[in-house]
Amino acid sequence: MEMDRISFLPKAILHDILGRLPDKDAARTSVLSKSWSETWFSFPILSACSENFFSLARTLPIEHPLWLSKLDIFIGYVGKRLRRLCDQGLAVKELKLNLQYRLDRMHVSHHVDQWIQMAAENGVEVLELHLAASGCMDKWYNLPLCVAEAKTLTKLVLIGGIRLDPAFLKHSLKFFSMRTLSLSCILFGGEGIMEHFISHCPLIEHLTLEHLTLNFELYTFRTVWVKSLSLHGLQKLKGVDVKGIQEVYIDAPNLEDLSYRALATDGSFKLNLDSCTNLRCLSLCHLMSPDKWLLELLYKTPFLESLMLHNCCSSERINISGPQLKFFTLSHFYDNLKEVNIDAPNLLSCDYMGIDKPVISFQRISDQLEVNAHMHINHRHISRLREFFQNIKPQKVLASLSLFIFEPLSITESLGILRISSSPPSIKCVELCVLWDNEAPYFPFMNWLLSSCFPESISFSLRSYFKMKAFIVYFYEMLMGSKKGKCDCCSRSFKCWWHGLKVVKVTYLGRTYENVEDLKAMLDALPEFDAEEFITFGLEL
Amino acid sequence: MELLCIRQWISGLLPTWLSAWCIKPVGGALVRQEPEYILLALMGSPLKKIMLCSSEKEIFSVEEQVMVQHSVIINNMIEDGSYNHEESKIPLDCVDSKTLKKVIDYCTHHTHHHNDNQEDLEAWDAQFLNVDSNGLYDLLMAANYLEIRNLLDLIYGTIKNMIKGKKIDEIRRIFNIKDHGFTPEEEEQNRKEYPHFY
Repeated sequence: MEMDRISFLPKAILHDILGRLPDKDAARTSVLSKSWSETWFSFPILSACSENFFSLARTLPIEHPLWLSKLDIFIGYVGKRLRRLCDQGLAVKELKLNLQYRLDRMHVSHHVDQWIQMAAENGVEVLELHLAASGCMDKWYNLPLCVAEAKTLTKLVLIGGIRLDPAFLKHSLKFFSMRTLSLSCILFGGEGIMEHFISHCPLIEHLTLEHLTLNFELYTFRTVWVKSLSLHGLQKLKGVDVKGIQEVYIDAPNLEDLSYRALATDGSFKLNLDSCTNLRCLSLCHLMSPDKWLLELLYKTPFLESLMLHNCCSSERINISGPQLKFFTLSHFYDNLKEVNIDAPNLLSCDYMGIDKPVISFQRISDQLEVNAHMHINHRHISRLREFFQNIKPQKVLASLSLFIFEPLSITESLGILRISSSPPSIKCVELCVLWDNEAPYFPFMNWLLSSCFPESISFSLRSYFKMKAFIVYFYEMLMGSKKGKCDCCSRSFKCWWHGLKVVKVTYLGRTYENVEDLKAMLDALPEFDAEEFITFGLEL
Repeated sequence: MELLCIRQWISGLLPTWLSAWCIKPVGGALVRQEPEYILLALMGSPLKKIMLCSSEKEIFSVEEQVMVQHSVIINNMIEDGSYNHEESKIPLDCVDSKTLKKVIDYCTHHTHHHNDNQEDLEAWDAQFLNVDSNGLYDLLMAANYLEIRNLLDLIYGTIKNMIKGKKIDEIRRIFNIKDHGFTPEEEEQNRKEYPHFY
């Protein structure tokens, strides 16, 4: 007779397990049995998301009794758990609150104040407060000053409609153990608060500052963004993520990770990283004309391993060099890029996303280099797709291709008669996300695609947005020979994919589908909402 | 192990006549060659074994490298020198023979096959965890005691799946919770307050 052993495993192990479950499932264990209930109430990680409590009542107005009763349940739940931990003399190790509704309308600000105070007085290590962004100036939630006294705090995350009052400036913040500080979309009630916070975190390792506003004029509606950031003397600083601050000066010789996004409106920026010679990962977004500055920076950071550029170049050419560079991602949606020159002898993967079809050339390559292209295709770019493949020098590096096609009808109409003059390049895999409507003909499209390249596998997105199920079935039947199509390869001396195709293997989530009925049944059984996975056809020629 | 320890150990084992041979010509001069490399060349890399003793007093001999790679506890014991290779065995009173054998199995496979592709490793892990629930919890306690992170993560994953997405009555069945210990009033209160759990 099997016994119930799991409920009596050591609490530390059970807490480990609870920490790995999604919040809902973890909360559920509290009603399993008396001993699980005790385990739950001694679980020092409290993560409460209002969505989980209000999901059913979302469409109702806030004054509706159902809403108010759900609110009471939410307040009761958080309060009860915190009080039980404090009564048992246990530390509240982590408090994570995600409240997607305006606190003032919910009349819960004083409850949140109380909860934060209980956590701050009981050894909180991780405090995360995520509120819905506030539209109006005077409806922000003021973070209680007791947070300044929480000396055990190692991670503080504040997102959304939170305001930091100038009263914090008078406090000496006891953030001696703080290692991660993340402030996003919050409001500073006065100048110098951000600097005050950062300067009180001597051991800080990861800093995130995103879209911060500074406005001390109560009754105007102007948004004044924080304009400058200066970080110095932070010896342990390893990672910085800054978005929306125009001037940034960082003096942190041990910095390894930097992610910077300029204010999208004009892209102008001033980023001084002269002393950050140990940089390993760099991600830049929305910078206007950074070309010369970027080249100089790459020269100063010889250990850079990963580089990501998003919408960073307004010229026709991008030059990248990096002796230790292993991963490079370029995403570019300006429609003017013509050339990408990469000199990175240790590069393992190069990812390109965009509308353009630039010529990508590598000066020195390693054997393991793989190029992955993710492209939006419309009818203007059809012929350029094949050119793009052929323009990658050397050609054998193109490994995978993801295509996003929103107007397949216009593509097939532009195809005309295909003239294939040489054997298409073979690549490892192709991913297709095509927004089919009912009129676009399937065959010319597939013929075009498979004449442009020989993929070893083709994957189709199963997201319901793309409506690809009928196409997938058609493709399957076509490959299995039941639907005949015409290809004009008879006079060719090289292999055509129709005649060369030997084996087709269809897999989804680990299962193989041998016949069309199984395939249709599986596709019909898919849930209505987005299935993130792809269904893969492995092709052997 | 520190290179220094290896050197001392090997130098201690080398007979003097062999030490005298540790000289080789380099660019016209005779240079003293480090003894450990000579011995390594003669013997192949040393497959040092350690001895683990289960709660049932059964002794298992296993490559030191294998256990040191996976178990933080054993690694610490050997690094701080509290374990003497010549004579002692590591007593593991919390782990019975059956479980210890499985743990050693896991560590050995993962050391020798760490270059295998992900799918094969996952398939092996799935097969490895195909045990009854008692065996699973014994493994969990052993992995926790020996601090074998990847085995712990693996078992946690399995237990997580027993709970995730399931209704209360189903979980009670899976865990064999015959008597939940709530009074009838408490049980009813729970069902009323959290109907979506059930």
